[in-house]
Amino acid sequence: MNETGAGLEGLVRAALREGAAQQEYWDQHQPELQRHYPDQFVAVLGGEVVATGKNLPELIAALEHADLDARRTWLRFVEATPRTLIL
Amino acid sequence: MIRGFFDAEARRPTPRVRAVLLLPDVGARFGSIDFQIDTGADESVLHPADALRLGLRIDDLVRAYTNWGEPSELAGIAGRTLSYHVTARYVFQPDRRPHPQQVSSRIHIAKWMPENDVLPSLLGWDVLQHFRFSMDWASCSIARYDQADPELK
Repeated sequence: MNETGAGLEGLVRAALREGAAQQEYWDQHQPELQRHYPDQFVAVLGGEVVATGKNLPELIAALEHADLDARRTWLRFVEATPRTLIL
Repeated sequence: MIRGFFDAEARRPTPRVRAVLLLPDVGARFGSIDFQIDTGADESVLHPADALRLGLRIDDLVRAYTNWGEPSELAGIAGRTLSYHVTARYVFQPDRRPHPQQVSSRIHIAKWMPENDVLPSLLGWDVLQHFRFSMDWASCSIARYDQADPELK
């Protein structure tokens, strides 16, 4: 384990900030997302839901149809039906 | 100390830690991933929803890049799945230190299947072994310390 160089640090900090912003968005909007898009994947851009899908291929198809790049969006599965994960 | 968090949406405590994942052999892709801490996993796994966020496509997760090599088989409680084991760097931002810290290791990129659409990416013992960590649901705190961490002394 070692510490990274200065160039990488900027990219890392920006990526972590982006991750924190995403988490804040999901935390704040989870109830309304569950109401409108239960058990669906959503893609968010600029604070707005821009595509949805019942699975990832469907979501990606919707993004492509809207001419949007998945990398620029925040993706999340909106869990409404409880499921038990045993990993 | 690297601070993690419990997923606020989960019905039960779901310990997560945020890391920037760099994949040098996959077009130098990188991005922030909220890994689920999995003390039952021998090795770390990148699942499709997070792989897409790094710019991979569903097709990539089915056919794989030529330099990913042959898929390897992972065994879990739900059965077996295929993955590609590639070089990875995990970068964490400690609380009270100016510089990020990184762990060089590998990660399994899970081959896409309808069944793994919704699975979180997992941080397994290949990375966890570098840290001592504590998880306390009562205080909603997760902390990970490396051996040089002054808070351990």
